[in-house]
Amino acid sequence: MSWDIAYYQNPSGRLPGVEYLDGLPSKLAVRFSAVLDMVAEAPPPQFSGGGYWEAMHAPLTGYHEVRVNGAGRTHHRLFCVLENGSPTELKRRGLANPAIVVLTGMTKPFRTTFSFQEYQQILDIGEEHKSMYPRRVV
Amino acid sequence: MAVGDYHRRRTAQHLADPELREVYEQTRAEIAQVDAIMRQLDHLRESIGMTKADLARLIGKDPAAVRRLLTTGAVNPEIKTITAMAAALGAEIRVVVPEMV
Repeated sequence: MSWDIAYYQNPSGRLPGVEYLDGLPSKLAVRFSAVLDMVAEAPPPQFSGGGYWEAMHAPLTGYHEVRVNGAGRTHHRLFCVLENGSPTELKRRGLANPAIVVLTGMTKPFRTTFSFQEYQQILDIGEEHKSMYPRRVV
Repeated sequence: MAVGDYHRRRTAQHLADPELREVYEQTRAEIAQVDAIMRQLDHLRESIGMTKADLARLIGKDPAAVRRLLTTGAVNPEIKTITAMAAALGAEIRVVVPEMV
C-alpha cells in the first residue's frame, strides 16, 4: 500500500517544508517530489533510496532526510518523519494511511555539516509535530 | 481535503510542464536503478546463504555499514562498494543499453 505524503503545518499555519521547496529552482523541487513519491510507493521500510533517501543518525535518530544536490554541489535537504502504526493509532493521529510527513528543509554548502542549532530547530519542529493529536498536516 | 491531496495536486502542477516532467522521470529512473541493484545483490547474498557480516568481511567493510546498505538503504552506495559486493558474491555489474523498439 502506498503511503500518503503530507506537509507539517506550524501553529501559525505556515508550511516550512513547502516554503523551503518553493524557494528552490523548480527542477530541484521536482526532484524532491520524485524521491518522496518513490519512497511512498515502495513503501519506506523496503526502500533503499538510491542515495536520495536516508535514515538519520543521532541527534536526529528516527528522522529521515531527502538529499538532493544543486548547483556547485550545494546540499539541499528535506527532513521528514514516518507516521505508521495500528489503524487505531493512525486514526488518533488523524491519518487514514501511514504517511511521510515533510517537516522542513535546509541547504548547506558542499562538504559542510549543519550546526547543532540547526539540528535543534529540526528536532523542535519534529517534537511539536509529534505532540499533536491529530497531527497538523496538509 | 484528504491527507496527501495537497502533495498530489502540487506534483501534478509541476508535471504539467514537460521540462519538469522529464526531470521528475529521470530522477525516478536513477533511483530505481540503484534500488534494483541493491535488491539484486541482497537476493543473491541470501540465495547463497551468506550473511551480511560475511559479505562485509569479504569486502573489508564495517558490517554495520553493509547491513545499512542492504536493509534500510541508509547510505549512498559508492560504485566501488557495489562492485566489490558483486565480486564477492560471484557476480558483476554491467551497463546494458536497452534495445530500442
